[in-house]
Amino acid sequence: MINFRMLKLSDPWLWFSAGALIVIGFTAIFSATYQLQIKADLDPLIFVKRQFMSLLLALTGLCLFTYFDYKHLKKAALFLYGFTIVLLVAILFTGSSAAGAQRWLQLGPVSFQPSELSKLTLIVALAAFFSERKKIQSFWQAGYLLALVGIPFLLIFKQPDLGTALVFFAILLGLLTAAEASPRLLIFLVTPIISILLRPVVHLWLVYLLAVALVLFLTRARARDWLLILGINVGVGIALPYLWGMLKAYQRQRILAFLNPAADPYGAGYHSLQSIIAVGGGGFFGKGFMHGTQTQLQFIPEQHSDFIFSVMAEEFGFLGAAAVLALFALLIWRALVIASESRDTIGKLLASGIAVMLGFHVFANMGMVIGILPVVGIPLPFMSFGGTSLFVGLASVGILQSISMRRHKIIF
Amino acid sequence: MPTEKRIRLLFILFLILFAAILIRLFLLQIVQHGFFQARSLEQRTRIINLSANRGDILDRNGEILATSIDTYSVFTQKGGFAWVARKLPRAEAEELKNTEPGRYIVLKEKKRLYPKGRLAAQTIGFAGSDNQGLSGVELAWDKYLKGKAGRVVTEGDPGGRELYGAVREIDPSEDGLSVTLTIDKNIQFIAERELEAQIRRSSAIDGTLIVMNAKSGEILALASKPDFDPNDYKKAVPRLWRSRCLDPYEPGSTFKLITAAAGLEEKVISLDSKLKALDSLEIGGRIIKNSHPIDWPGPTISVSLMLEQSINTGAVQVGLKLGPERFYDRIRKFGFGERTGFGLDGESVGIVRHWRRWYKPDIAMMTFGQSIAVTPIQLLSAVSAFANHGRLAAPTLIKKIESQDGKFVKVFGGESRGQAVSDKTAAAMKTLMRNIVLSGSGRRAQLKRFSVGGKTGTAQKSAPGGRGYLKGRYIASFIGFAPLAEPEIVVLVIVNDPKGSIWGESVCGPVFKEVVEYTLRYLNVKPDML
Repeated sequence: MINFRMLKLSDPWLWFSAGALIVIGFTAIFSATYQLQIKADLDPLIFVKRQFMSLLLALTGLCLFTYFDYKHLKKAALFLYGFTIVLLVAILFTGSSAAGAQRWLQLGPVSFQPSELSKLTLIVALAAFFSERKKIQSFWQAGYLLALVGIPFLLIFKQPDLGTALVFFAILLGLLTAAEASPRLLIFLVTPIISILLRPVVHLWLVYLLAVALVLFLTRARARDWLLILGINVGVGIALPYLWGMLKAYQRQRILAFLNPAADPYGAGYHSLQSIIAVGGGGFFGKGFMHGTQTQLQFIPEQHSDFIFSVMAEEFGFLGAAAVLALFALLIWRALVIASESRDTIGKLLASGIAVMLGFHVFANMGMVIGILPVVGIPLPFMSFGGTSLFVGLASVGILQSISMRRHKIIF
Repeated sequence: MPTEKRIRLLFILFLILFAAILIRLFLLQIVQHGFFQARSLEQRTRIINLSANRGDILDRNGEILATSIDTYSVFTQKGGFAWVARKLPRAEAEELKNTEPGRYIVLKEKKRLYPKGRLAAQTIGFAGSDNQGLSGVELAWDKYLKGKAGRVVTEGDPGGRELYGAVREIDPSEDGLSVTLTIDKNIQFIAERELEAQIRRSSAIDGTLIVMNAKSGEILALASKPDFDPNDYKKAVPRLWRSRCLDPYEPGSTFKLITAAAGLEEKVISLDSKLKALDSLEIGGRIIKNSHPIDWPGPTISVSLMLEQSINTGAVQVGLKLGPERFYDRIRKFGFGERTGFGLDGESVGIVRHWRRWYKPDIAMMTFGQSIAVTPIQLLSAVSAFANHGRLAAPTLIKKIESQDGKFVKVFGGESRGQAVSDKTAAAMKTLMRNIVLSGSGRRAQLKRFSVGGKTGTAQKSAPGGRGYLKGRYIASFIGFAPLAEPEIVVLVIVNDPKGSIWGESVCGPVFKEVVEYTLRYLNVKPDML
């Protein structure tokens, strides 16, 4: 099934970008934790060591996924999906929590986050679903799709893990896009989300509604689409204040802090503010490896995991941050190239889905670090401390390479 | 099959999103870099204040009169900073902290301790809870005692931990200098004991007793009663915080010494001069009487008898012979009307009006120490001139200040406030003062083995507001020195408002005697009488 001649067909840029990001990730984890551990009189290399053990496991996954033909995934899709659901249910009963959310599951010596795994299995399940059906034709199929995304979505929302839930939505949209879903459906799904975000600023929301109407007009949308799309946007806009009023005070406060961290710089907004200061303080060349003051003085909690990019931006400056961004862009580009060069639908959909998942992670994570998006727990692929995320990242690379290597029919 | 178009759409979408990230990075890291650089610096800068150790106050033999000890204060930051309890012993502070773990924080603080309690309380004074001098030497010499607080500017994290090797600026604290007083705690103790006993016997309001080295002006004891415990100064009435020796009073007959010396110096009288024996005389419409009936030896009296019997009418005659201008000049030459600067803050200059502004009877009143106000320290300095060949000793409370490592030392004293009278006049005054003690009003101050010169005073208390005198209210005093040939010490005893016997001789003479006797023996002064 595989020999080393096939490896020549693997994508070298993908190897390079993923490898470079992992090396950079280790550097940043080292910088973020070394001094801190020394001060706490703990093993200064414990985080690096643990991440290295995770890397070994993830490399095993990488080899497996590269070795096996990705088409087997289609057959295993439902099994993998079902297994993930079982894990997600199990976590609600036995999971250990961090920062108020139940995310970790202990299996023997390994603890891992089923929610991270579920991102990949959802891609596989959706890709398998869409590869069989060009269009959603029946109510039954639509219901099946809704259940496919909805079940893990609700399970994860219960943890609660808003970040992963958002990733699901992005994956769904991405795969719908790749699977040639009608633009109307995409607009129907995307525009209400934007309506919810813009509704608090009423005139901005009204301008947005006008823009949607303009797009509908220019695309010569039919009356039914006008009704559906404008209807759901206006409906959401009108219902929102009532839903808001039904919420309890503490729930409202949480959502407000979530939407506008700067309003509460020492409470919910602290994380975001400190991260922006770290990034801005880095300047063009950065403060130097192990010399980032925000990093070394631990102004940013959990800096080695979700906020790892702030370490790069502070210590290696604009140059380092832009280089990391460029590596991710390279990686996403290659993933999409692999998607377009794949010879079958499942390969195209898998590669697209993975590209969207990784790309969305990068955007959401960096956007959070530089303060243009709210703080939600989304790790930076390949770089953030965390075994499951690293495993999913390398498994993704493995699947992509598996698709890349098998893009020609017969080569031997 | 997914089309190239859709995949390209996804790629363009991510390009746009990544471009947004890049633009934001550019804005934060290049355009706004300076602002965030400053924010970052500002929030990691930690200033650690280094408090300086306050210097000790010692007596002349190095006995500790005031020092600082470690105590433990408890504060909370829940709902803003607030002290919970301050300056507890370590065990108590820890116990309090453990009553509500996580709420209280213990801080080491210095506390001022006065190991001798009430001894020399007004002289030593006290420092407040932030180690700032508030009274006495603690206040007047605060500049040296307090040292210089330092600070370390460093970089730290939100939890207060320091960044390793990040110290940017060290401004070390400098410990305060120790101040050694001229006070001798043993003499001080005796002075206070005798003074307090006499105040109680006389049911007096208060009193002052000063023992000064006749030559150097070093103050060996500076007692003021009633007093307070500086360890617990807040419990005392603030009025008691102030040493009475800083305040002016009308010296009464002790001032006749100055009148006589002025007359001798200006040669309007000599030891052989005869003054008229008068029971009263009138000047400027005011009748001047003697304070007690005199058993006149004849129509005239000697200057010595005038002093021995403390005859007001005799003193007035000397004053009139001098005239206002010369009398005033001599008073000023004795240092009245100017601060001695002996070492405490808040010293009064006294009340010595210029002779041009004197009312007609003033000159008469002043000859026996009324209508003029002096501080006890001024009077002591003036009388020291007679013991000191006419030179005024400069009273001083401070022997030296020195750094705790002994590297910096400044020694005080040894100065003079100038020549008040000639050696000859001083010698004559010694004889006159000897006569007062031998055969005049000062007999109660006689010592067996030391020759003493002195003068009593029984001043009328001026009414508050300065108009007239309070009937039957007196300030009894005695000033003198010993041994006569080369006086070691000058001592002034003042008892304010004694009841029963009101005379300086009976109220203050015995106190003077006790203190002088003890002090001379303590100082190993060779007795001059056998």
